[in-house]
Amino acid sequence: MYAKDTLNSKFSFDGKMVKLQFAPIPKRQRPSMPTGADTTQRRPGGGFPGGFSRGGVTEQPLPANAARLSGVSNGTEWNGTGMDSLGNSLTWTAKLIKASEPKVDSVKKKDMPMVGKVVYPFEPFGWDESNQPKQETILIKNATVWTNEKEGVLQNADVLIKNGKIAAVGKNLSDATARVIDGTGKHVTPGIIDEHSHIAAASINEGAQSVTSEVRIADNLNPDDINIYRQLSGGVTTSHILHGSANVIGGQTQLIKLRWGANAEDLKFKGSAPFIKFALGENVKRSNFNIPGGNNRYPDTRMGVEEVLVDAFTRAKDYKREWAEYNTAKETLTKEKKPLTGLQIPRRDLELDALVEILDKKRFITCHSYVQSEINMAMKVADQMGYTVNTFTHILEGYKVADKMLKHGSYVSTFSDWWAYKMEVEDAIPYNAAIMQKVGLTVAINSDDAEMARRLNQEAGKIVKYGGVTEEEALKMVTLNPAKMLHVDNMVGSLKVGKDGDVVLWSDNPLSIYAKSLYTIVDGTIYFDRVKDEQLQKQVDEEKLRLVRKMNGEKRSGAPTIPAQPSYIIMHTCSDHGHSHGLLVIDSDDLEINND
Amino acid sequence: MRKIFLSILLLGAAHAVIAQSNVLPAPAQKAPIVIKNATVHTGEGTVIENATIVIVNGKITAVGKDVTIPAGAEITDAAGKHVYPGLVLPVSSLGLVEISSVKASSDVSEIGDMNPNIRSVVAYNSDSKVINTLRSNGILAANIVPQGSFLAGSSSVVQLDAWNWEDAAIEMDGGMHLYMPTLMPRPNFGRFGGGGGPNAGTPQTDPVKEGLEKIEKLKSFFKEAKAYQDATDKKETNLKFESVKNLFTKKQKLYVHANTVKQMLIALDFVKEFGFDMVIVGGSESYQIAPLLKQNNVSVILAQPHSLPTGEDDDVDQPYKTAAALQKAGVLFAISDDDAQTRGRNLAFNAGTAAAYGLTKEQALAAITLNAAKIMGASDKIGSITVGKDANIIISSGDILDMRTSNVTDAFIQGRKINLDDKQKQLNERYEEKYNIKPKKGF
Repeated sequence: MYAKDTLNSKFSFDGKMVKLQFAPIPKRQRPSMPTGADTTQRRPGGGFPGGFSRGGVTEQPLPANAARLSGVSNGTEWNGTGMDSLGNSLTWTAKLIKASEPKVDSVKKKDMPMVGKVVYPFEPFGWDESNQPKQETILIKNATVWTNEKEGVLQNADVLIKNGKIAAVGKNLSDATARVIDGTGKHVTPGIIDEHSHIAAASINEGAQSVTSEVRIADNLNPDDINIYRQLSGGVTTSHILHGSANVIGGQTQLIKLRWGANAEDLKFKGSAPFIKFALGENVKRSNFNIPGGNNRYPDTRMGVEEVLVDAFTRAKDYKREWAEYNTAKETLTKEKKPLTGLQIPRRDLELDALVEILDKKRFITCHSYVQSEINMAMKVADQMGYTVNTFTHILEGYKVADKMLKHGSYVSTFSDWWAYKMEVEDAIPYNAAIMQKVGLTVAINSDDAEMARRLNQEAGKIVKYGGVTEEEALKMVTLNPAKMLHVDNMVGSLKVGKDGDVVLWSDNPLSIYAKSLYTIVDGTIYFDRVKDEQLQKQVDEEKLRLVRKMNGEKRSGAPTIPAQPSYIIMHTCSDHGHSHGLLVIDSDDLEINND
Repeated sequence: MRKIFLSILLLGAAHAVIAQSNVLPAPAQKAPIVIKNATVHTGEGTVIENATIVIVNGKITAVGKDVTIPAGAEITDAAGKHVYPGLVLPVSSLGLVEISSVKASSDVSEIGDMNPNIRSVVAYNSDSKVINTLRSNGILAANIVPQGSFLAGSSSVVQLDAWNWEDAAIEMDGGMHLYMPTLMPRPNFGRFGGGGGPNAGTPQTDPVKEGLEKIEKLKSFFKEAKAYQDATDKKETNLKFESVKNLFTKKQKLYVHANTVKQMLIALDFVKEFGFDMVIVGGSESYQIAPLLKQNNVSVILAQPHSLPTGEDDDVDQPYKTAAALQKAGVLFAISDDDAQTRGRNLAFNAGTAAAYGLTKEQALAAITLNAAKIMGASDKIGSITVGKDANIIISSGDILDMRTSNVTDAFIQGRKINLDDKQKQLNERYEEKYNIKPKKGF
């Protein structure tokens, strides 16, 4: 049929309308004889310039320089008008004589082009089958081991990882089958957990309305994001991928493990608790966005934000009651063996389903928030509606209402030292995390930034500097504490026998600026190895050179070329702060008129 | 003496009015000041153990192991501590931007492509609350840089303890700032980066051609400016021509904000044509042309080592390693901290990262002290602990390059012992009071 693969030209056909566009052909490749010349390798079957080859055969050949044709299909005959490359108009007719069988090219067999290795993901630093990271038995010997358990920090200790789990922590461990890594002078910690991240997602904001609890990050993970690998190089093993802060109720989040090269499904942290992102303040009011004519979406104030929450949960409670009443009535009728015909099934509402899960304590909230008034408000609405705000995230004025959050039963996740980039962070202080920790809250330090995420260990170090918490407590802020607030501390967050083998070997004290991850291990699989990284870099450079040479070769043999274009990368962020992501990164918000 | 000082400070804090309005600039130095038993990192690449520093009338008069202590000197014992030159932030919007998203609080970017006569210093707000948070991390001087779309105006170097911009300025209008066109096509992304969107289908102008045309116009401008200066009778005063005259006499440097190789190569063309002293700001790809930069005496300010690599196929740690590549090639370079969320306070840690990836610690220190001062043309006054220079000195209880150990206990600007309180420390104290969680002992 008229499939694309029978044509070398740009072709569109919607069943009625036909359009053909021919790329200019270099002079020496234009056919000297327009008809029946089956010898040109580029066009084995047909007489159409540009390669209208095997499908139909023309009654009259087209001029060699035809550039654009459009027309209408009457089944076996096409008629239309067109234009040649000199701008002269022409008319054309094509008749179907017979469908041709794909022919074996009799002219000559081309050598199979040299193709690159298939790597996973299909990206620089992807692995091929020969060097695929595999689960191993790993024994790290004689290191300083930060357990995050009551044993504290062990000197000259060993960690054994087997079958993807921590098998033993202690002194003088041995295992005949293990790959032994010398940890002398080095430090072992649990993998870093980032409570607030936007990497590995194809999109993060559904900002058309204020409540979009039905949308899910799980549906649009992007496992090809190079930042997965880059963050592994900074010791990150688990990331909580959130919606942006475009609206008050953003959507359902996804916890992932950084299994570089896995597909979207296998990135997911199996067995993790369901979460949802809420947001308050300037972003949902769209205070800082350049919207022509100003913000025209409710809410425009923190007063309105409260009403959006109250309204959403009021609807959710009505919906829940409606279903409860229906289920009771159905049960009664069934018991009494009466027909259900008169009974109206409530309309299923995906948006409200997610909110009912919150009311039923089956889904947890992480709430983007900054100033004390809105934090207080969010807790009052939660109390009124009968749910708990599980996590306050960002929470730069959390120190002002730390006692209230403790009483409410929240966890908190914040930045170490960000401030003064927008009005609602004017009173942010680097002592925030320490104050909240001293008041009794479980505190995490998060990134919200693909660059900073790979230095989260050092961000934790700043809490020692500014707030005087102990080094052990500071490290917990990027490991055990986020695990607790994400309700996965039974699986990750400390070096305890039976927990997942998510482990980092650092070159130095992990809170130090001089610390580098030497190995980042997820489920007992080494996904980042600093020595192997150097080899990968060499392979990347070689592959780049091969592609450049190949393109140059094609160009020399006369293939059409287009000017080189930089490949931009679109990156998602919480949209309220600048980033140091480099020249080729475009913030997704800069692309969207309805800035989120 | 130290005890008395601390108690005065505590008293001050108890009566703190939030917003640091009680943090006064320190008065001029009276008695000689001596810092003894110090591990002195001079900024020139050397470390002197058990050293003594003498400060008289705001200047460093002696540094070394064998130093006579003048009579009547106030003595600070720095045993076990590290002493450094005050850190220098080489590119900053400090004092020009208070809250970046609040337009009324921003004076950093003027309208128009050709603003050589714009001067940053006159808009520098010496009462910005950001300033004291930088001092707390050891930064005592900064280059205040205007931003813009092309030729953006002149920068000035300020010290961070002053009543007003006049008092703050230590080197006025020493830099002229050119923001290089990107010279890179940018796709017409529609909404969500796909087709669609309001700009979809709009024919794209060729940004390379456009950029090069702009550069050609700028060259004509400089040629005209030169002719103007060489002319003996001037009928009209041209303020824009007047404002670039120091570029030709090398009293002013041309700072070219550029990151790609292409941008920097075009900038090099300027050096050849006009003989300007040139500084590249940004320089993320500078490691690729380091020998060329060295050959042309171009210096580099790395805007922020804490960045992601430019391309997906770049070395994962490239931004951390670029400083070492410049060091190896002999390029004079400084490190800055351009981060909009932390406002420059992590300068020392950006240098620390460069030390983790190839520089020695003293080379990394030079990148945020002496090298920065040299580039800015202020190394006669600041940048190192050297006899004759202003006494801009910080004392830290540990390695200043590492957040794990950095803790600035004392700071002197021009020999004046400055108050290291800031708005954030005051808010901390306020809430430590509320929750009754004040540290029991120590300060």
